[in-house]
Amino acid sequence: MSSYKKHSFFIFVITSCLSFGFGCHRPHVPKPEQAPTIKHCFDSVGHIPGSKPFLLGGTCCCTPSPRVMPDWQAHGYFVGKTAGQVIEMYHAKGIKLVIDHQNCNNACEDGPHIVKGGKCMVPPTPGTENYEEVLFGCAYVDKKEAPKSYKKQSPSTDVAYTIAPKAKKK
Amino acid sequence: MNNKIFKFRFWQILIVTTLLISGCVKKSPYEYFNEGRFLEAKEAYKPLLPKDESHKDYTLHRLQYGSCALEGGDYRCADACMDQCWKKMEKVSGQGEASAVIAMESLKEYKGDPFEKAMCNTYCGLARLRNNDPERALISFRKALVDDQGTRTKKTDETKDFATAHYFAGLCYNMLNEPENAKVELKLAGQYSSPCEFFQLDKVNNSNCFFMISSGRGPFKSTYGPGHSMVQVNKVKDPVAKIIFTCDGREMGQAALLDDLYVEAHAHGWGEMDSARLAKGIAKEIVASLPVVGAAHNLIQSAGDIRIWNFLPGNIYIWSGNLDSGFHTFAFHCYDIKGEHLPEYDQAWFYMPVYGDRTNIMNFRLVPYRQDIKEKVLVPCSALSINK
Repeated sequence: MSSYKKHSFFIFVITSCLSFGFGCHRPHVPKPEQAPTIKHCFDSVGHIPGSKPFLLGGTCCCTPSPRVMPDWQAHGYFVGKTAGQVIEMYHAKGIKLVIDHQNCNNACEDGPHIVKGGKCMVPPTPGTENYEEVLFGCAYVDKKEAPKSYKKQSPSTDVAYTIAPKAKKK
Repeated sequence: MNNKIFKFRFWQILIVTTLLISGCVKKSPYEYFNEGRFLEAKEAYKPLLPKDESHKDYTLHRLQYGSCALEGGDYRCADACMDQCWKKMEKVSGQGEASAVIAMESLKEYKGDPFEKAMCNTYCGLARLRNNDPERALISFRKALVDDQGTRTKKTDETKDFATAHYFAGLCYNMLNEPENAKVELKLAGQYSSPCEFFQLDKVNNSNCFFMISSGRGPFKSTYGPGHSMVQVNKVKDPVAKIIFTCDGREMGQAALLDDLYVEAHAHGWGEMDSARLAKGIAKEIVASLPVVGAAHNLIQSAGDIRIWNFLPGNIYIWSGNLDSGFHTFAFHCYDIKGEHLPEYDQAWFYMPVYGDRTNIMNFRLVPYRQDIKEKVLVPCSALSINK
């Protein structure tokens, strides 16, 4: 093969790869504007009555305070304990609360949020992906980056943060 | 032999290109940022931050890291980062421009242009406002206005035209019960942007929500002229020309353009340093043209400094109004200059809290395809891998 042909071939490979990668018009599927139901409650969205504290395996990420203690205790959680004692229990597990620091959106050294496997239980910042992910308990992830067992969980285009119903087989 | 090399090169190029296209190569903070994944950009930036404070790009990297924090809602980190960066930039600026005559521009410590310093303080102020600290926020916005006065221009208007800082300083004054000062700052904000109701004190008093909406990419620099000694600021075109805000599906009006950062950056005129660099550039070209000592031109470093804070937006918009306290769905719908809808720029945010007992200040960054769910799957939070 002559040198000219080789060069032309390389240029062809590179330009075709580049045009394949960048040149095509990208179709867009927006996040639906209908909100799903809340999964986790925390200080800025308010306590959902009856929800079990996260420390006990539940979905309530509210900061222990005299305001939430009566509801927790009415449902059998932390009976006989004060808010201060419950805070100590969270601290003993290494979990940081809003009384320790604020406004980090769980991107601090203790992050991510406890529902994502981290040690930070500071309420996330509204108007961010992290806020909605903590609130609804799931995240939109690129198919390529998702764990193998979730690669087929296509999102619904009607309600945000919900899985699309599977098409019925005839 | 030649055929073997050819085959080897072919496979090498094919593998690298495939890896790049398939996304197997770890993403850079720039890529994450351009996708609107700001907290991931921040995490990806962490290992790239220079540890040595005397590193020439220490401040530039910290500014960009701070941008990721601010846009990602980590206001604690953004406040600390921006505050530190501004102090560093002030220190470097105080050392003067004499070294420009000898040293190569890009080897000097980054000090930022006046508009970058003004934006640094604006972000610092915004982070403080979101941390409910209007007193410290006001200090930052006032510093931003002082920074803008550092613009080298004969037009006095261009040294105090940073409407964003005027507007937010006005808001802070109003929150601190200083209506007269608030009125002055709001009037200046209106004068240097687009006159509209958002800059009237009555409107501010009757509003409980204030949004700063950033759009597009900030300006970039390039060199031209003899020995690449001249630096020009270039604009990155932003297709978004109109933003409509809706709350729970109800149209609440159009956001007003507050600042075009290209205009702010472009206003910075000619200085001693530029003259010195131009002289070096001319000398370099003369030496290069000489037959015997031509190679010596490489010893003259005349290229201009094109470093710039990359994560800044192109345009800054504001919206203000009164919303019922409670939780709402906010949405921003974007349109181009012809009025055509740009759905890839649209954003919707759920359960946005509006508090009745305080001023609600929020900031949003428009990035194309930020909320695109094509090619995405839903993963429970508990199954997410920790990005550390």
